[in-house]
Amino acid sequence: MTPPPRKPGDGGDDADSSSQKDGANGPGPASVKAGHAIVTGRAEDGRPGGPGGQGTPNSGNSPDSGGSAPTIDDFVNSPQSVAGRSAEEIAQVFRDAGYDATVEQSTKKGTSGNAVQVRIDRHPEVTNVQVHPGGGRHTPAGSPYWKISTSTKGKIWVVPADFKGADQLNGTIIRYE
Amino acid sequence: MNKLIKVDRVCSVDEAKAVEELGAGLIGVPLDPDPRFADRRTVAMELAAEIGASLRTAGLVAMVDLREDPFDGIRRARAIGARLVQPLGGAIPEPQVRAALREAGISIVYAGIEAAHDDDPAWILSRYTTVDDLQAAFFQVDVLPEYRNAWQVLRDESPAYDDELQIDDLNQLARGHDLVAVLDYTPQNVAQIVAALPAFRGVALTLADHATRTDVHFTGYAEALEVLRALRGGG
Repeated sequence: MTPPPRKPGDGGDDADSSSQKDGANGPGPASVKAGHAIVTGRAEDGRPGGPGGQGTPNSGNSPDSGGSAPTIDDFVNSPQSVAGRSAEEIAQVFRDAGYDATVEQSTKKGTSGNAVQVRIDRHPEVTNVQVHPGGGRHTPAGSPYWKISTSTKGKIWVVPADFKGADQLNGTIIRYE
Repeated sequence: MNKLIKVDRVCSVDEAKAVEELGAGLIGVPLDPDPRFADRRTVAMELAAEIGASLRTAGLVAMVDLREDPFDGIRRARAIGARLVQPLGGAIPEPQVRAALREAGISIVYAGIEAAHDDDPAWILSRYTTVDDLQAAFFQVDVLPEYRNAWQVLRDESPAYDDELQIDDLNQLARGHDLVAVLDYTPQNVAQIVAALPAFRGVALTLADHATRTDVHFTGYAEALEVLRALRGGG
């Protein structure tokens, strides 16, 4: 079943439904696939977002990022809206809203060692957002997933269809394709 | 390790005495509700003071919300004789609040810190290590809270994925910072966990009956006693 496309802010049920596992949710914004492809390409280069893991700043309005610039409310209410976004793009959304956001590149070896965390300070809900390029336990290389950590709802995993192990994870699982 | 045993959300004198007799060196008393849990484990000031007065050797930790009215939180911590506060929500108090705590001779337990299987070790404390004058007593890290069988995953599965957080990573982190570990402790695994995390300062159990989230480790009171007995070698 394919749910209708979401409008900004109408996805609150997604994050609140902690029973969501393994495909309980449909696609996010129509732009997600395009964004997904962009991040996948970066991941295949070994460093999502480019050298240093800092990402390529993106206005959010380009075709690459898929349509209108997201807001923090989008991330909170429609978590799948992070899919396709680089760490730097996500960080910029928080910075634009007045929060400190620090992009931290993983130093671990291995394919998913290219993961990047956006640490957000002083936001009342979101504490960090991680961009994982894939290639580890959960997804094949080049199949990224995103993880939003909140102080109110716990962890929200925004994952592709080929994500494995969701049934073992605590938290909310949302499919983005 | 890792000799420190900390039990959080203790709610009666009887509970405090029981866990202290089983080796707890720090007793956390919840002065404010913790939104992560759906139970009645919150104590009034008078009872918190009674719990503190009943302790023979263990220290008292005031688990308090310092976000809305931090100076009232400090006042309440002082009133019950706590030398440690544990801010709910894992928030880092503002500099002026930390200064007031320092002036009051109260240090901070930073708890609710999550270490997930797909976290880089450098991310776990980065929020704290960039802040000056944290007034930190130690950091309490919930290890792999996204797994109910966290210890089994960490011990048996994670070594197959070298990009995931490993036991060695945790010990390495604990060599640079005072860490206390929260895990899915059972009477069967607690001694093994303690042995595997020698760099940690200790273990912490969080008492709860029900949680509002799935990704948090907690232990019922009766099972916590069994865990503590096992830790003493009597289990």
